[in-house]
Amino acid sequence: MMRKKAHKRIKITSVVIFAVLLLYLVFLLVPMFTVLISSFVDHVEMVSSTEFIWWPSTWSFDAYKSLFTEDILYLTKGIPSIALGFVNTLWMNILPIVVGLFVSGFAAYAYSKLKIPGKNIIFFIQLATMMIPLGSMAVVSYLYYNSVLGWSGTPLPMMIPRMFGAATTIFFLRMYFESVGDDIIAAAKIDGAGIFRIYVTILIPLAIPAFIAQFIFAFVGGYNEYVRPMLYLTGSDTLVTLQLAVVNLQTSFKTFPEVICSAAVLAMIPLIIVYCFSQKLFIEGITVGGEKG
Amino acid sequence: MPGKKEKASPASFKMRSKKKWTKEAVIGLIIILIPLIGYLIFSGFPLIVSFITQFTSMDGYDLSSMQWNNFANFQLIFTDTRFYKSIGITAWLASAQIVSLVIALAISVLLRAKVKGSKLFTILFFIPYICSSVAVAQMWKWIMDADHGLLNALLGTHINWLSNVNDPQTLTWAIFLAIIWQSPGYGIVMYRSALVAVPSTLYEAASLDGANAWDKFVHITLPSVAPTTFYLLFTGILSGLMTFEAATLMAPVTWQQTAGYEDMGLTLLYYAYIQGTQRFNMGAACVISWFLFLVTALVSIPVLKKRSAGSEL
Repeated sequence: MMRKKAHKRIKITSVVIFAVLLLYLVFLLVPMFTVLISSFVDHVEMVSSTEFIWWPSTWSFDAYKSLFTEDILYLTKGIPSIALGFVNTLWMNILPIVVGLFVSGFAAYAYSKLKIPGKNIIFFIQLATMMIPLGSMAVVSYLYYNSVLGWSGTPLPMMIPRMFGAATTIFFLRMYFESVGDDIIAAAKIDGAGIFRIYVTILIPLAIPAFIAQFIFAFVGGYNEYVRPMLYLTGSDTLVTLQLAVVNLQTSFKTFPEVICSAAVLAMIPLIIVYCFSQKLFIEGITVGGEKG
Repeated sequence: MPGKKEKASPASFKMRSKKKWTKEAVIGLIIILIPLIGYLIFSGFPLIVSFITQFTSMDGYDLSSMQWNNFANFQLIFTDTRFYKSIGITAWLASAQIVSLVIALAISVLLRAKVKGSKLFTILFFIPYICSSVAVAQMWKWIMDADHGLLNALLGTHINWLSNVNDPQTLTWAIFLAIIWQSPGYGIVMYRSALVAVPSTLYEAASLDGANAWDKFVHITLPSVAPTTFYLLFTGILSGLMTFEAATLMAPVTWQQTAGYEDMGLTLLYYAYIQGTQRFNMGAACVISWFLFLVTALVSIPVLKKRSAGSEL
């Protein structure tokens, strides 16, 4: 008798928990669906309605079409700004991230496997740099990049610094490399391999999962980045990034909210698709890449 | 044998161990210095330049016109009501991070109950976190829209929530809402791995002792995930203090030159942006930034202490 009662009580709790989780899911999905649904409303209906359109009376791709064909950049130079923004975002991020990972990995290898006098002190300094919260300098760094380096109006402020590697990446990869057996490296040395060869032919392949996780973390950050492109690339129509393009479209399509919605949808889709295919890797990259242990 | 000095004898002839700076050491040194050099050039120097700029006036961004201005920027900022307002708005929006942490913890605990679909829920719960600030701002602006917004449709009203003459605070709450929509995803994932590590035997033992769900939560779960909570609290508050994108995107500079209606979106970093790029007063912008820097550094100290006490390199 007692077991039956306890079983019943648990079941109700399960239902309540499920309901709460479902409600939370609805809360999370509603903003995305709102924008998605509105992107399929045709302009006439959008303009003539005075409240939220729950379901378009006619589903139309006009918003998406206008996004490309009525785009100012498309009309003047033949490329829709959102497409150019996407392409720019790709090369402005993939290149520095790959270079940065190579440099960070090399440093991690040096810290964990090479004999360097004073490397512990230097590592301590490297670690210390992680402790300094530099986010507050995001805006005023503009003065340095503009007036000291002269990089305003170029994508260099977003690309060059990342090519020098990052402390968190070094920290993470160093832990990874320390678990690599010294015997493999010793064997390679006997075969005459130098530091560079050992890094490229042995360590990099072994650490590919770690590199991929770090890449995803960095790429998501770069893809979504708004502050630096806003500071350094505003005003340039050829160097626009995806996020910047979406913001600019809010002005050029001010009376076409369905087009602005379509832009927001398109901007989100690539990351969401990548996420759906690789959630485990994604989550590992974001959480382990961010946490310093 | 440990501590025994190596004797230079023909049998144990190891010249390399006596020479400190081998080729490997030199190359290694260069390799590990590269990131630090990058840090110096791209983080260190800007820090120095901005520090100096606090004490100067200049023509726009022309460094050659820099002149010592007798703390004028400090006087300007510390007697500025907008500055103090921005501190308030910043603290307000930073508290959204704390709410997000509570939500993340609550949801994670619920996900641990063996309920149908937990796995799918977890996967979906992370999606808001990977949306960009631009997308998030756009979604919430659209929900808050006066004419076509979902919120007005649900309430039967036509309020312009982001520019509300009757209650300007709704703008700040709207940004707050956008933050608590997006932020918990990270915490949920972090708490999930922390909760998995808690041995179920602890809970079973507690059940035998007659503990109810709340007791178990307070006395087992909470202490077990304390490191994660501490980490999330720290990173959350830090990022909350530096709120910029959410504010700039949802409360764009108005015709009255305010950060949203009545400056209700004016965070510290946003104010630094307005001073630096709209007023061309980089000196004032640097004062605000360094104020924020010191506050964030202060928040970091207890973490530093805990880290050096608890962990080793």
